[in-house]
Amino acid sequence: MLRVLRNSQRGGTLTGLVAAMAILSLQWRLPLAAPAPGAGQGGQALAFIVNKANPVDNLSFQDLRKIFLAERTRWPNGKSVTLVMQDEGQSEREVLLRQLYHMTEGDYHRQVLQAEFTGSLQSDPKLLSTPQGVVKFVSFVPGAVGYVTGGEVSDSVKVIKVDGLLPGQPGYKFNPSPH
Amino acid sequence: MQTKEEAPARTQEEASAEEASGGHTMELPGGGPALKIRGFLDFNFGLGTDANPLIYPLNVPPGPPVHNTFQFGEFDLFLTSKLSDTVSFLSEVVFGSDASNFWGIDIERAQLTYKPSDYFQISAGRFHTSIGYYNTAFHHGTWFQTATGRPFMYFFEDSGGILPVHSVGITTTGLVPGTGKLNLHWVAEVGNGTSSLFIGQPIVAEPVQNFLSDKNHKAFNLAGYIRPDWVPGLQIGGSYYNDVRIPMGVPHVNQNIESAYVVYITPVWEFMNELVVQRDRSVGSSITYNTPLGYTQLSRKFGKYRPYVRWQYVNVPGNDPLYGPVGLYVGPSVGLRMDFTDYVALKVQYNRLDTRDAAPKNGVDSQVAFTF
Repeated sequence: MLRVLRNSQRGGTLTGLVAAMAILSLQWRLPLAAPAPGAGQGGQALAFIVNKANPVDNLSFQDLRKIFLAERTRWPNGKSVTLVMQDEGQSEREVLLRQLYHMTEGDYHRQVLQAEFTGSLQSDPKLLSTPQGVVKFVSFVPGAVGYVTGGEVSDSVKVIKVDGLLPGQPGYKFNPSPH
Repeated sequence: MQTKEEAPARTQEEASAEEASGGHTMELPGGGPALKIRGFLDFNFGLGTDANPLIYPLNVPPGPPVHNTFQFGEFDLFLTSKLSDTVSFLSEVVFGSDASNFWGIDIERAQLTYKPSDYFQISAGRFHTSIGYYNTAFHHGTWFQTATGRPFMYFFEDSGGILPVHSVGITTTGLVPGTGKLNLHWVAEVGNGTSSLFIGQPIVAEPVQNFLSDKNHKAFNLAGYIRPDWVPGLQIGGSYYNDVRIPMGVPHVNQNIESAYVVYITPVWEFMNELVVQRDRSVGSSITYNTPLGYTQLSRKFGKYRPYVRWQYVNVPGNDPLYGPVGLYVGPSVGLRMDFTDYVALKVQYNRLDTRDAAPKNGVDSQVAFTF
């Protein structure tokens, strides 16, 4: 529900607010759908999502880093990894670069180019402009892996654990900073 | 990785059709693989007792050294295409000038790769030989390199380099299963090796055997390296290369090249250390001529600025049957790289070079290198 409200506010339209109020009033009476595992947990934490068909449930921090650095290009089921990145300037991307890559935006550009140049990266990461687009893309593509804040997760995708922890759980490496 | 049973899902093609994707590609109407192009270029100005003492061979054309000159570097077109989920193509086409002032066009790399898993991939074509680290980490795009050029030991064959940095043949590589946090990788290569027909001339025309293999002999190379999880950025490795060189009018030469390296590269730090020993022994002789080649390079990024220092050493015995005239090259370089935008770098580098038979040479090389 909070997600609906926030999306409406992004649009900034009165129509959106009215629609959100209508949904809120309906949900007083209707039972809510069961959330996807990980959905809604750690609303502001960065959640890593994969296609529901992906057999992976948990990755170590190092394995996740290798996947995003294109040092691992296949899932255990043989599907090729399709990286999904959000556009520059998105707060989720800044968190990813800082906490997973330990890179600036410029470092990241250079890293991608060098990975292409050495042949380790055989296709560019998919670049999408909205968290909703990331969720939709990942829900369609069997080998895709992307990241959104926990509040953006829907039950069309699967949230993977990092070092055995879900977003929002104590010790999860991508929880929002206390400051 | 923890896994569970796979469920049906839509194909990537179906999904891709619905979402915009990034990248700079060209596709023909009606389908087919997309072609992606990137470019790299560098432009230089050298100044000093020798305008650029690291350009080999020194004093070419013969005569007094040039004290200042503009030098057009490599115009590098990098092309890639993904042909299927497991098959891809990569190529570098380089346009460059040299002391003759003529433009040359070289297909420096062209390799078709089949990669069914992270544990095995095989490529056929022309590629950079997996000797040491620098040769496969940095190719022809000068923009990627911190310094204005490659270490002397890794100069390209048609620029006077003595190592077989290019191969035409097959290269295979992969991650060794079960090596866990060590991340051990293996490499095995076989190729035509290097021609010896032009050895001894001031400029080697084209030693890489693109089309013929002299006397049918094949060179091979085995390499391995680790990237331990506990020190991100650290890579330790080595390689062993063997070829039989066949210079005209003299006995064949059995050549072994062994390398070892330790590099530590993060977005901030760059610390590279490599040592190669090239061993040449004429067939029928008991004498092996050992040529040590090495360099160390240290740099640290401070925002847009990256100061660096490199020291390099190549010492070919005077009576080496293949490269005796090359002799000794030793000296430091100190430089500053400035990345004013993500894709344009300005570099200023001081070089000093000592050789066996001539006075030390000094020069300052400035370079603008970019990708487009």
